[in-house]
Amino acid sequence: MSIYDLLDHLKKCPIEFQKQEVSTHALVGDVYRKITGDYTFKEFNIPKAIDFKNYPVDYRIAIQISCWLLSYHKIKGDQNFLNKINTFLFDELSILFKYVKSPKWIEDDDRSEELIRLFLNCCNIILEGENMAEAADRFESLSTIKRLGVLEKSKAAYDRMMEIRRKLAAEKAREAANPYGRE
Amino acid sequence: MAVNKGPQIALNDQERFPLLENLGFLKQLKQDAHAPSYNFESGDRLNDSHLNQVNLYAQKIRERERHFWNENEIPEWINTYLAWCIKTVPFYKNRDLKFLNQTTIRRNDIHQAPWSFVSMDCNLDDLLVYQTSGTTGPAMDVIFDPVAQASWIPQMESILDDLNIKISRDSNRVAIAMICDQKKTLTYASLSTYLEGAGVLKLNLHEGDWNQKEDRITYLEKYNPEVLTGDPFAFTSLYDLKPKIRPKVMISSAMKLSEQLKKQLEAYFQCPVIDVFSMTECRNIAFAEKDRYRAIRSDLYLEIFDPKSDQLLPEGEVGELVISGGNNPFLPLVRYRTGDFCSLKIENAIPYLYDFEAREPVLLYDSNGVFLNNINVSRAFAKFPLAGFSLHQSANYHLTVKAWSNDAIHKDLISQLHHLFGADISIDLDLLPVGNNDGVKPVNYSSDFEN
Repeated sequence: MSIYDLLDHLKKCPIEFQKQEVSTHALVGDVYRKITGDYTFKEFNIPKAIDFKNYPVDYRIAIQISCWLLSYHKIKGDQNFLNKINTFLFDELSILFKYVKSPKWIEDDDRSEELIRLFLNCCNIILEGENMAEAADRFESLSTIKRLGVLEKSKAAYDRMMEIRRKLAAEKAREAANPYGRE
Repeated sequence: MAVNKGPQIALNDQERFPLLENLGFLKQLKQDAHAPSYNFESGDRLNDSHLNQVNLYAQKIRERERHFWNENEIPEWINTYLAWCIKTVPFYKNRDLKFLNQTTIRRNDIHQAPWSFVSMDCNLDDLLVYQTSGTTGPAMDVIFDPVAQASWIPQMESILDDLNIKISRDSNRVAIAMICDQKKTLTYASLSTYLEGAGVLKLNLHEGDWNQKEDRITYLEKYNPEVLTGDPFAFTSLYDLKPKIRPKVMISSAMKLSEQLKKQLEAYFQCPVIDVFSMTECRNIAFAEKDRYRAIRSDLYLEIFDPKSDQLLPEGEVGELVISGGNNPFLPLVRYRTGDFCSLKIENAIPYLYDFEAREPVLLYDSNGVFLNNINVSRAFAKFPLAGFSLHQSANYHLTVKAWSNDAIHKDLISQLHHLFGADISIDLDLLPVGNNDGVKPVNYSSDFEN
């Protein structure tokens, strides 16, 4: 799998994936089934509480376009891989979408590659003909966040948000009980 | 969004009780021959600094001179509090500095991004989290710290002060026992650092938690807790057991306590029974005093809003209770809609809630006629991607269920309901897309059976 294969695939994103009327939840479910190859599989690692309808349109469409990207036939994986995709869709993209209008993910070559490299970075995938340093370099050179300089301040906020989310999942934080009895 | 996990056991006793040197009583409580099979561990994790803060909070909240705010007045502290929220809490960033211009927030705001409510001032090493059961809404992570967690005891003491009831600081006594009667719940023996090492128990009266069912009585009688907390279901089960214990007070919460049960409990246990209105998001709010509820905390500002629009209602009108303030920097609340309805009157600078619609206990039965606590349904449904649900049981045990989800989980929900209520129970399940439940409480139980 090369960057050109993925770019070519992404550019062919059907218009249906870019419409807000589409069920984002259904698309994510479908792509998770396809990635794992288990079409009877129901308990995907999609964070259960997500109500996509409350997400900003640009974010939902960015997720939908990413679903098309993830439908590329060579992208396969297991539950652990889905966890990384969750990070891509629900953590990283939740920051980035604010700075990129959704059509740009398809129309602007740099943004297309940035989306692909964000996915690769989250999933620790190194493409054919690249090494880790080259991949990191290329990703950084495309980074909207870095280009706009927006995250000098936001980066700290983002890092803190991620730290809170890590802590939320940590077992030590979860050894806690509701003193009024009805957990 | 973080994947929701349930409670975990992850600490050692040193981490659970940094300031308590002698944990002998804790061991005794756990290893007693009649002790239940405790399935969880819990400590208050108070260090010196935390304990100091809890003690200061206790002083403030237990002041005898109580002046909350006057009619048509906003307490002065609310402006400072709001400014602090805007400055340090990501969720409130860029908001207008004027309190009266604030829009209300809902449970769903916290549900979707609990991390956005954590003040930048918080030390994340103090972060604790538990998942609510979803009694009034879908399961939700609530974040807090050891100080906010421990504050429920001084809040309770502030109510007991009026009755001249004191909780002992005795490291060989059980000060508080939280009583449950559920098929499955967390149970543990713990100590309170704030109460100088006194015991705190969480007990489930369900027979399956005990070696011998008689142990429930023996254990309770042996340790004779000073304060019992629980909900009306748990207290009914306790009453049925008739243990010979003499608590100083019983505190009922989570749902409305009927006058009849209150009298029954007071007569048998020979102690006052207090009905407290509390929420996981901010702990104790008010307690029942005749036909009204009296607010207990000057650090919580109460208002009444139109349930469907962001319109503040005048004093005396019934609407949705909205709260601001609290002492949890991991979840500061500005105009948070509680989902509970009442009117508000200020008398002598103390707020009272009238016409309060506390959560009525709902009687549900399985197909064999065995009582089923609705908490079991909430817990079982927590694993499904539901935005909410309503469940009604008819007198012939038939279930009418509406659930809101965008997932195809119809069969799974039916299967879960059969598991809970029995395979032969008849069910009408209407699975609706999310977004069609405007004006409906996120979780709503009802039944044809009378309390």
